Order: sequence, then structure tokens, then C-alpha cells
Amino acid sequence: MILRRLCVQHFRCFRSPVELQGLGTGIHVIHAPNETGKSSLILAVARALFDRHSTKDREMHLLRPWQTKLSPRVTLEFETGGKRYRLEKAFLDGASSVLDEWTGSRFERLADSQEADALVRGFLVSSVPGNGVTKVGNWGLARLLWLNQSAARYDLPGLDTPLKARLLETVGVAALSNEEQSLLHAMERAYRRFFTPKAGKRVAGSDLEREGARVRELREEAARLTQRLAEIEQLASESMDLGQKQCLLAEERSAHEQQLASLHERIAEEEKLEQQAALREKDVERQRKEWQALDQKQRALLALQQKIAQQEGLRARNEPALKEAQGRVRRAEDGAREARERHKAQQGEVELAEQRVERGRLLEDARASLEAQRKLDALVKQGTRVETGVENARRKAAALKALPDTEVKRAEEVERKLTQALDRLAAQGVEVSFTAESPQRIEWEAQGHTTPHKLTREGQKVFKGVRAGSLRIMGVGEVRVRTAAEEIGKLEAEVEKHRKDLARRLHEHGVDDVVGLRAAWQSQQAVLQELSKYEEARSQFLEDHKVESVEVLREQQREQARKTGTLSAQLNLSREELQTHPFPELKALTEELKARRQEVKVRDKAREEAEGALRTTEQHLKVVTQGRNSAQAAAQALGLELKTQLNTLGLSLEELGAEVARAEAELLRLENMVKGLRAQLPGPEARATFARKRLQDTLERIGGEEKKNQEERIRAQALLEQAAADGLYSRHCEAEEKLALAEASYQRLETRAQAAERLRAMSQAWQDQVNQTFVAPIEEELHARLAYIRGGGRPERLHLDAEFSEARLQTAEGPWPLEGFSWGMREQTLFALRLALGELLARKGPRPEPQLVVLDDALVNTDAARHQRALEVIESAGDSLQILILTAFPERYRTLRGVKEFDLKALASVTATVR
Amino acid sequence: MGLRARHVAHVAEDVRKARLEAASNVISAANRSKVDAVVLAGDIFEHNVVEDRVVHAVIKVLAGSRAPVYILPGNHDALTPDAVFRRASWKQRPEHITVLEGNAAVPIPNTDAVLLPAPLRQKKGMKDPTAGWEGASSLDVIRIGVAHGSLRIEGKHAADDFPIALDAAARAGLDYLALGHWHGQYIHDGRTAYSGAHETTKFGEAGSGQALLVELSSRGAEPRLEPIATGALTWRTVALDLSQGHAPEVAGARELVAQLARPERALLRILTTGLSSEDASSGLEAFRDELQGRGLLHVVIEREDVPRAKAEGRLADIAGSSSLVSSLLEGLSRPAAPGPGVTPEPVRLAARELLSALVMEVWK
Repeated sequence: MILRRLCVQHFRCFRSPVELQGLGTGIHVIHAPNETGKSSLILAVARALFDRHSTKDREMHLLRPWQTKLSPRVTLEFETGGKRYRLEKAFLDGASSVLDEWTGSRFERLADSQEADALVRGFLVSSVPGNGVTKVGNWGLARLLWLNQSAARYDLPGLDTPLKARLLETVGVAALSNEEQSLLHAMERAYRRFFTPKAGKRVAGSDLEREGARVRELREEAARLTQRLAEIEQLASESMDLGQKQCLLAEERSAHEQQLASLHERIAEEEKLEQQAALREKDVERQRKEWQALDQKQRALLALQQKIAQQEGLRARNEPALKEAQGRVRRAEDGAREARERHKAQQGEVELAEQRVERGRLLEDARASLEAQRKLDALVKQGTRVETGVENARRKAAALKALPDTEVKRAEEVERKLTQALDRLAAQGVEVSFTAESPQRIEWEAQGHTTPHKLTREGQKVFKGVRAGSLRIMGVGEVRVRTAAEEIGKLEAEVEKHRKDLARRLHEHGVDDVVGLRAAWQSQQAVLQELSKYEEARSQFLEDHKVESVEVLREQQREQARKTGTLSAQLNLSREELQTHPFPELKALTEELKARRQEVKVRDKAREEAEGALRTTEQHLKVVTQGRNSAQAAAQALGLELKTQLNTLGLSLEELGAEVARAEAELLRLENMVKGLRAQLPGPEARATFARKRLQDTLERIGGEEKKNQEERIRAQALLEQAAADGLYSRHCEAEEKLALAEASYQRLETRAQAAERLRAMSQAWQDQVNQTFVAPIEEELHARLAYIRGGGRPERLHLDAEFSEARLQTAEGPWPLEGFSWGMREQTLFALRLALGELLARKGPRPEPQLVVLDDALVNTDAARHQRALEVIESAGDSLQILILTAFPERYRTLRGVKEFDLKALASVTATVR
Repeated sequence: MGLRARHVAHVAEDVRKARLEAASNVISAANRSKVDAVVLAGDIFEHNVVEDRVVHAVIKVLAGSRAPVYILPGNHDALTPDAVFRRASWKQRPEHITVLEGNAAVPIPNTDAVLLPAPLRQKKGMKDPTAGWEGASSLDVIRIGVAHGSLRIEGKHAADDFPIALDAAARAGLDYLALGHWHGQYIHDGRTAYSGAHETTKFGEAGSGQALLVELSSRGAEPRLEPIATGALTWRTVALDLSQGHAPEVAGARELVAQLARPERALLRILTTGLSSEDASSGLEAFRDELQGRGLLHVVIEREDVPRAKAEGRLADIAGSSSLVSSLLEGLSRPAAPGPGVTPEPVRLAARELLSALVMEVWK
């Protein structure tokens, strides 16, 4: 479909009718500044083509001109299917829709009202609108071919079923019949009964899921009951084992009881012998104790006697050592006294040396202070000189009038312009040449100035560069010349302007000419350079001596003088005496002091050694004295104790020895008797009592096991009976039967789900195959245009899905979604897609016809080179398409050939004026 | 008693009740025949853990017997510590009901016959339970062996299934050996016989639902054996070959069902074979609905037929005009070669059926 004529009235900013005539195939640029109705114009076309005339939607009310109740009206004349139509549509108040067909001589009524709306929508394959205004998604072919101003302009257009059918038909692929589409929907429904559409997961809460959950639940229940049954059977088996074990235990117990009865006689004999041996063992024990007591007493007294002898020997050995230690103590006391006296004398020497060193240091400081003061005096003098120079130069500079370099340059520039203007005036103005045949006095008057001249015979005077002048030859007359040339007047004015300007500038600085001005500037520069030199010298001086000002140096000078005065006072010398006073060598004094101190250290060490030796000898004397005294006391105490113990026994040491030997002989005799009795008894493990104990232990163990066995059997029996009472078996049967039913049901559903899944997979594979056949030629057309616009031999191809809802560019790194590219690339792709689809619909398929392509502010993000190539693509499409370009920048499209331009603002204002 | 009926799960309770009814039939037949003794050769109970409700129900049935009843513990109700026969509930039975707990000969009152029992004390065993009878040949009375296990017939027994020697009756000098374990009635050599389960437990179980009336006139005399029908339910299997269309086959099956005396006590299995047409499924489903409407206790259809690969009739016409339908039919026409990722055959058949149904619904 293409438009032939368009008239809009009472529509947003178009209060008055605006009409575009003479539309046809080719490129039409409709331009106007922002907010003058370009997009409104396209919206008006869309509302006329796609909306029901009767709609009262709020959005439709917003189309009324601002603060009016006017009803929007649109008239379109268009061609489609080889016929021409006129659509007149009015919305809101007085809503109407009339469609006329051109019969060759006039328009005749074809349909009106809803029928007219439906017919027009059908021309553009527009689906039935919902409530309210028609959304872009229902704009049919316009959705594919119009690049509008909207939020979705960077999105792919998407396809609905009728549009897809139209494109399928265009590229020569059979479209799906209604039944086939219904079948696909039915298969999808069957699939979605069990699976989610995108992820293909099982639908939560579906029959299949519920049945699966039920099967799992029942399986768990059956497994639990099976496990319990197995446990019960295991319990029965254990119970049987326990019964058998009980029998074995009873047999074992009986055998052991018989053995126990046969042991009694042997036990009585063994007990008699055991009693006799026990009595003898008591005798042995008593005798052993007696012997051990005597023997122990004898050993203790002999040890006491030996200790007494040892203490006596020790005392005798300590006497000579005691005398020698006393002598050593006396000698050490003499040595220590002498060392202390020598140390004290040396300390006095050190104090005198320290006093000499201290005075030497003060004299050294005083000498340094005097030197520093002399240096500061010299610096202060030098600084004062530099400061004076700076002050003088500064006074000179202050006396000068400021003359900046720019001012001189400007004056020179004015002089240069004046000279140029004069040259031009001389070249273009009136030139009067006078040659005197005899000496003459003449006057030349130009521009109000009169200049007298004297000429000799044959003398010549030339006056030029004026617009008008008067030559008076004395006694002869006056010659007036002038020219009416406008340029000369302008030149004169320019010369006068420059002359005045130059004169003003020179006068301001009191000079006569520009040379004088330059000389004044140079003189000023010399004074400023002198000032700069002095200031630099002062800065250098302060920087060299690291001070901020000369005043700081003077302060340092005063401080130094105070310091020198203090030092001379400490030395008790006047300043004059100090300057002439001899300065001792501080290093020699310090060395002397160091030597004295070293000597004190040596003496101190000798004193400490002597005192240490005295302490050691005194300690030794004390130890030796204590050793002798304690040995003497111990020998006396031990002797007394020995005597006391012997008196208590009433025996001498020799008699005690005889008593010990007798007791030992009696002990041996008794032990031999016990051994004889024990030899008559069997070994411990062979005795009947031992066997009886073992049998009793065994019987006790068997009794315990029997008891435990019995308890376990009772428990097992109780559990078995409980299981039966609980109806475990019936529940198990019931659970397994329910499980069988649920599993069968689940299996049926599972098979159905898999069947639906299989069918869906097959139908999708079939659709993919069909889609590939359908999309490939469109991709080819798109690629040809896009590759050209992108330029630079970009080989990446763009792949579309069959619903035009997704596009991916096949890059070297793999497919990349269009949304991931720049705004420029995206708009170029969508622009190329519009033209590709438009040209396909215009040239191919069973119903080829020119198509309207709208580019409303397209390619705003495209660089100049690509924009130029895009224009070439538009130009080539202009043969088969009607392209409406709406722009605020018409100059961007001036290079297009055969373009029809419409100045929308002008059109609107003309109609408004006419009305 | 207490059968686990997973294979007929949704009528399991009916099947269990029918088994008690069949037991009553056995006792009624015994009373009618005025027998000297009723001998039950094992597996009276399905499991030793059956609840007391079942025990009481069995006792109630057996209490109706005018003759003494002798019960041998089988492998399902073996004489283990948890045996149902040791339970307090079982001990409440009338005196004429005796459990053959030992191997000693048990005289039958008012006769000169003894029973030589071989009770089982475990669920599985490789030992011949009749092996202990060889020493009892000195008794000069009618000797009736009662045992539970499988006769050592090639292909009909397992090693741990208490194998019984084929000449067990002769070796022990028995006049008759009453055996239990096999569900189908089986008479080995005139003196050895399985009476069969008193009620059928599943489809295809031949010879079940019977008892044997045994008459022993004297020591050494040939026993006279008379099968007695005791089953309460009718279990039928009908095979339908769908190659020539399902309608004639269904009609034949319908006639068969019409002959059933008590359809409400009948369980029917329909087994389909051959190459089936598109409408076979709907026809069979309609037949199932019809049978259930006629009150059959249970109807199950087991499909072993194979759908024809090529579409027919209306579906074929639609496929001719729709490349989508023809492409899908082609993809589902035949089984895929086995391998990983291949659609299982039941799924392919279900997908084919679903497609057919959806196409018919859309193009109706």
C-alpha cells in the first residue's frame, strides 16, 4: 500500500487542515523543526488505518488540539491491490468512517462505519484491535515497515500469525492451515499438561507429579512394611535360635552339676592338710618377726657406733685448717685497707682534671661565638647594600607611566593599517598632477586642509589619494576635482579613523610617533630589568644564607652578641680580654681526664678485689669453725644414745649378736616343717576346691545366659504377637496393592507425558525446518543491506528467529544478541530490516505491490560514513517503495536524488493563514 | 488365607473374601461326602504374621466341619516360633481341629488309618520332608502321608523348595500321599496327589479352585480320587487377534462373557495380538466399559498387538493434505532401531495414539 494524498485536521498541533498531495513511490522528505507535528502526522495515518472510528479511548481524547473539543479528522487517499481508495475518518464527536473507491472518473462509496474500518485493516493485514486504540503490535504491515518514534523503536518488530502467513506467502513457503495451527496448539496443550513450556520441567501439581509423589510415598510405606516383616522374620529366626541355645545351656548345666557333686571327698582331705600347714605357717611367721626384730636392733646399734667414730675423726681433721684460715683473714684485711686509700687519692685527681676540661670547653664556645659574630656583621652589611639597591630601583620604576607591550603593538598595528589604507587611497583616489611652466605658488586643499606649495619652472607636484580637492594657482585660478566613487569615501573614512586612533594612542603616552612610543617602552623595560636584577640579587642573597629577610640576619647578629657576653661573664673575662686570651687545647685536656678516670677504674677494681678476698677468707673461717664444732657435738650425742639403748636391752653388743644367731636357727627349723606339709597337697590348679570354683563360675554364667535367653525369647514372642496384632501383614498387602495400582497409573501418565513430549519435539523440529526455509531469504536481503551500510567488508551475518523476536549476529566469538550491540548498529539493523521486508513485499510473492516505509527520525545514532551509505540504500529502494522520511535535519537528505520535499511548518502556517 | 493380590489390586479385598468362601465350599463338600477326615496339606495361611481376624475367620470356617480337620504347617505358615499355630487366637480352635506339629503317626478316630505328617519348620529347605518316614513301615494300618513341597519333576521344582522324591509313597509304604504347595491339582501315580488350591490366585493358573475327595477302603487298596470344584471366582483369559479388525473378535468375546453364570464373580483378561487398526484402541476401551457396565468384577486388557505403520481412513486423508500431519505420522510409523536416546516403543505407540486423537479432534 502507498499513500497518494493525506489531510489531517483537528489533530494535536494541527488545528487547521494540513494536506500533503502528490505522494507516490519514491522518497519523500517531510521536514520541520521539533514539536511541529512530524510524528503526529504519522500517528494520524496510523489512527486512520487501524483504529475503529467509534473508539472513545482516553488516548484518542488526547489527540484533540490543546484545550479544544474539536474532533480529529483524517483523510487518506491510497493505492493497494491495483486499486485506489479514499478513506475519510472522524473520531469522537461526529465519529464516522467512509471508504470510497476510484472508478476511473470519480470516487464511489465502497463501505462505511465498522465495515470500512475492517476493510482498511484487512488491506494491511492488521489483526482485530482490542479495546481502546490499536497498539503498535496490531498495526499489521506497518508494524514491519514503519520505523516510528516510540520506546520500542530499537526492538525487533515481532510477527503475529497473519503477518507471518503473509511473509511465508511472499517468500514462497506454504503457510500453516488453521487446522494445522490448531493441531500445533493442541499438541502444545497436551505437552503443557505435564511440562513447563520453556524449561521443560515437570509441571508442579500436575497429575503426573501428584501420582509420582503418591508412588514414592507408597513405595516408602511398602518398603518400610517389608522391612518390618523381614525384621519380624529375623526375630522369629532368632527366637528359634534362642530356643535351641536354651536347650544346649540346660544340658551343659546338668553336666556341670554332676561334676560338682563328685568333688566333695577330695575337698575334705585337702582342707585338713591345708589347716595343719596354716598353723605351722603362723609359727613361722611369729619366729620370723622375733628374729627380724633382734637382727634389726643389732644392725641399728652397730651403725650408731660407727657414726660416733666418724664424728670424732672429723673433728680431729678440722683443727689445722682452722688455724690456717685465721691467718688468711688477717692478711686480707691489710690488703683491703691499702687498696681503699689508693682509690680515694686517685678520685681527687680526676675531679681537678674535670674542672680544667670544663673551662676549656667554655673558652672554645666563646671563641666560636666571637667568630660567628664577625661573620654575621659582614652579612648584615652586605644585605643592607642589596636592599638599598632594590629600594632605589623600585622608586625609579614607580615614577614611570605604565606602557604595556600590547599597547605598543596595537599602535604599530594601527599605523600599519593606516599605511595600507593610505596606499589603497593613493591607488584608487583622485590623482592631480600639476606641472608649472613658470615658478608658481599653489595651494592644495583637501579634506578641509590647505597646503601651500612653491614650484619652480618645470616643477611638478602630484596630489593623490583624495575624493575631492581644490588646486589654487595663485593668480591663475582654482581647479576643483572630485569623484563620486563610494569606495573612495569609505577609504577616506578608514584612513581618518586609523589616523585618529593612532594620534590618540601617541598622545596618551606623550610621544610624536610610533618610533618614540617604542623607545619609551624600551626605556621602561630597562628600568624594570634593573629592578628585577636587584630583587633577584636580594633573593639570591637571602636564599644563600637561608633567611627570609635581612632583618632576620640583624636579629641573629643581636642574639650572637648576647651569647658572647654570657660566655665572657662565665669565664670572668671582659670581651677585649677574651679576644686576646690564650685558648688551651681541649683535646689534650680531655685526654688527660680520660687517663685519670681510667686510673680510678683500675684502683677501684683493685679495691673491690681486695675486699672480695677478705670476704672469702672470712667465710671460709666461719665454715671451718662450724664443721669442727658440729662434729664434736654429734659425737657426744651419739655416744649418749648408744649407751642408753644398751642399758634398755640389758645386753652388751656381743650378747646381742649371740641372741640373733639363736632366733635365726629356730626360724629355719619351722620353715622346713611347713614345706613338708605343703608337699603333701596337690598344686593350686589341681586342687578340688579350684575345680569347684571353676564349676560354680560356669554354672553362674550358664544361669545368667539362660536368664538372658529367656528374656530375649519372651521379648521376641511379644514383638511377634504385637506384629500380628498390629495387622502388619494386612497393611503390607494393602500397601503393595495400592502401590501396584499407583505404579500402573503413574506409568500410564508417564507414557502419556513422554508421548506428548515426543510429539512436541517432532512438531518443533518440523517447524524449525519450515522456519529455516522462510527466514533464510529474508536474512539474505537484510544481510546485503546491512553489510553495505556497515562497510569495511564486515562478513558477520545476522540470524533472525522465525517470529522476528530475536536476532543474533554470528561473530567470530559465536552468536551475539542484537541487544548487545551499540545503538547505532541496532538502528541500522532495524532500518535495513524495514527496507528488506518492504522490497520483498514489493517485488516478490503472488501479490507484489509498492509498500509504504516510514522512517521517522531514523539513523540518529549513525556516523556520517554509514549515513551516506544508508542514503544510497534508501535511494535504491525508492524505485519500488514509498519512503516517508520525517526529519528535523533536511540537509542530511539533500544528496538524495529525486526527492520530494515537504516543509511541514510552512504547510501548516499557510493553511492557518488562509483560514 | 491373606493372599497378597497386587496383580488384581483394586479387587484385592474381593479376591481375599472369595478365598474364605472357597474354603467354606471345601468344608461343605466334605460334610456332604461324610468324610472321615479333612486333611489340609499346608499353606492354610499366606504368612505367619496374618492378623488374628484372619485366624478367627479360618477357625470359624473349619469349625463347620463334622469330620476332624488335620492341618499341616507348610512353607508359608511354617512351624516357627512365630507360627500362627502357636498363637493364643489359634489355641481357641475347637478340639477337632488338629495341627500336625510332630512327625509321629496320628491315628484318625473311628478308622484304622493313621496320618504320617511332615510339618515344615522353615520357609525354604533342600531336604525331602518325607525322608523320616522310612522307619515307620512296620505299622499295619492304612497309612496316609501328609507333606508339603515340590515333587522332583524336572522343570517343576527348585532345589530349595522342599523337593519330594517321586517314589516317596512307595518307600514309606503309604497308601496315599497327600501333598500341598502346587496350586494346580496334580495326581502323580494314583497314590500321590496335589489336591490344588481351593481358590485360583491368578490368571492362567490351571487346575486350581478344587479339592480332592480320597477314598481308601483298606490297607494296600488303590485310592479312589474324585476332584471337587470349590472355587468361588471365575478367572478367564480371552485372546483377540486384531489383524482382521477388532469388531468380530470383540463380538466373540462378548458371547463368551454372556455365558458366564455369575459375571459379578468373574475376572476377565483380554489379550490382544496381531496388527491393529487406528480405531482398535477406542473399540477395546468401549468393550471394557461395556463389560464393566455388565458388572464383571475385574476386566484387564493386555495389549500385545502392533499398530499398522501406515495411516488409514480419515487420518490418511488428512495426512495427504497436511505436510505437518504426514511428517509426524511418518516419524512415528515404525519402531526405531534400538540404541541410546531412542524413544521406547510404548512411548512411540502412545505418541502415535495421541497424535491420532488430536488430529481427529481438530479435523472433526
